[in-house]
Amino acid sequence: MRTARRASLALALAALLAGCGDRNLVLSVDILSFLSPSQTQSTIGPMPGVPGGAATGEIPLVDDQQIQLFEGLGDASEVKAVTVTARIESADSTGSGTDTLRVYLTSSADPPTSQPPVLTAVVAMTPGVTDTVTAVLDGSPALADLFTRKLVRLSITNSVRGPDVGETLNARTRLIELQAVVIAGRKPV
Amino acid sequence: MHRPSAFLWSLALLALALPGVARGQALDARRMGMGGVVLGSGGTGANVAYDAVPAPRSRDEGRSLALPLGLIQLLADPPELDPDDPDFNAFELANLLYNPPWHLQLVKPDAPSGDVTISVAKNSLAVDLAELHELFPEEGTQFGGVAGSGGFSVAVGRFSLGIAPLIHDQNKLTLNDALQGALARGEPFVPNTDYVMNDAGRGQAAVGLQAGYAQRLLGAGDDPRAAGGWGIYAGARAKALRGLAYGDVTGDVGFTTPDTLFGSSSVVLDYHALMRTAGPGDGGLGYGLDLGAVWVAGGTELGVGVNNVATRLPWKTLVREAYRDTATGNYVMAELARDQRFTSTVPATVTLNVAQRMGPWLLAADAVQGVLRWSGHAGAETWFGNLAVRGGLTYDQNRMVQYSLGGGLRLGRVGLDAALATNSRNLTRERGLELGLGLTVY
Repeated sequence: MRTARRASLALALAALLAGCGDRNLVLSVDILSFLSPSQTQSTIGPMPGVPGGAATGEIPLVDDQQIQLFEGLGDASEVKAVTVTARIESADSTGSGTDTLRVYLTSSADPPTSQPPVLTAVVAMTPGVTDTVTAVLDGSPALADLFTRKLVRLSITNSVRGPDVGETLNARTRLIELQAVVIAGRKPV
Repeated sequence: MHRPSAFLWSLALLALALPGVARGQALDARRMGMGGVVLGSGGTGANVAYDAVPAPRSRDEGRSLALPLGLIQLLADPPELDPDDPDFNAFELANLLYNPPWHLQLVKPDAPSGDVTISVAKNSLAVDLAELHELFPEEGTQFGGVAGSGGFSVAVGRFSLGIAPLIHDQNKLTLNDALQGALARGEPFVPNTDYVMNDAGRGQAAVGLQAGYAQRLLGAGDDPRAAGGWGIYAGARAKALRGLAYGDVTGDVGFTTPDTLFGSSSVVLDYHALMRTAGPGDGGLGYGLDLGAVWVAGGTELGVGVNNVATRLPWKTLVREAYRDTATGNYVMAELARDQRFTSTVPATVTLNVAQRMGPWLLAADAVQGVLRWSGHAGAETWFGNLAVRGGLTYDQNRMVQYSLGGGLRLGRVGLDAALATNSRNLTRERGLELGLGLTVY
């Protein structure tokens, strides 16, 4: 009796792809769908103006969320590239400041925030303005490789710096898109 | 890039040719131009009774030699065999099995290709297979054939003796409705649903000594095709077979989606298959029988041939079971029995053919019950001096109508035949067009 490695639907699809030479497996992961609404939005303020602007430091929006993906995909495919896209909507009522959103991903035993963020987006808030900021990262193969693992761990933080003068900052930010698109090819035999 | 030698290619193509013929590929350019119709004594060994029917005395009948234009085309541009090469395409190689490249491919259906896109969200999964979705027709994928020609025989009076290979293969792959929708139509996978694919395949090869006997049972006149002549002929061909290889597999692979597609529990494939295999040292001596009958009266002939009536092959087989162990999650291959006695059968195939000669015209039609499906052919031929014009239709095993057109030029005792014919012998059942050439000795 002998055992074989665990396989999955993605492995079967990768095997199908294996017949097609240089064709690719395009894996589009809607990361946002794995988050609850409370994890994707934050209310900022009131933050009165202080010289140099008050800073909140990194506040977890998503604290080590585990995302189950495909099992065995990494065994059958070789990642070529990844693009991570984040879109953040900010609605500022009063005051000005900046909100820095950081996205951390890992598949290791260490918490995501033990690694540098894979994506950083800075949102500038202007009184009375609702704006959308898009950040796109063309990631490394190492980052792309994360999405071929069974389990991905995700943390998202935001850190706000308030006004140094003027009105008190009151605003709201919301993550409206967080998506990874992985291009993988067949693993050489 | 690996470039195998012409010799290796030739060997491989010889091995490929028999299954292709079993799937209705006509090598003879005359038959090809007439829709691949079975032409009695000039046919394919489909009816042993024709061994007793006198060869037509028509000046238009001869012995044909098919010219392998397609082999030259293939050798000039062979497919990539290195799986690590970007040009490698396993589906292109599979198409060579479906349609061995004996003829020149004028319109060659592209092998399925394209990027596969998987879109994942917490409770959503959609798969876009691009052109690969054509691999999953609504009625499932099935193919099969029995090839028993390709050997040689000698006739001594009413008897014939010969040696010939016997190759049988068949496969039926079906998806349940949910999986069919997801893979073929790109419908999203949904929670709490079973997705299952079933495959049943069998293949066996043997080589056999054949002893045939055919004679006229009733009739009038020496030549049944002469005015006032007629004859009823019957024949039988006994086969002593030595099994060379056997394999069958019946399996299900599938998965059940949870409440949330990408929640806390991952989707894991369940797999269960039973396999039975035997090698050259495990084959025993089997037997088989072909039967046939023909009625010929002047310009009319009608034949019925049934091949592989009660053909049996004994084997010592290795029986194994493959499954996913639910306790460990591992896939396991377990041996259930070794040297287990097993007798395989070769499916019978039936050929019904009819032909009518009217002056310069020859009209012919046949119906062939194959391993899994039947097919039909009809064709016509007429001569204008030394020039023959042919045409035909085929209702093929993919339930598509195919068209053919051909011609022949006779110069003394030698003739050149050419035919153009469409076919759907490829994975995606697209229509292809090929050119066949042949020499005929009259």
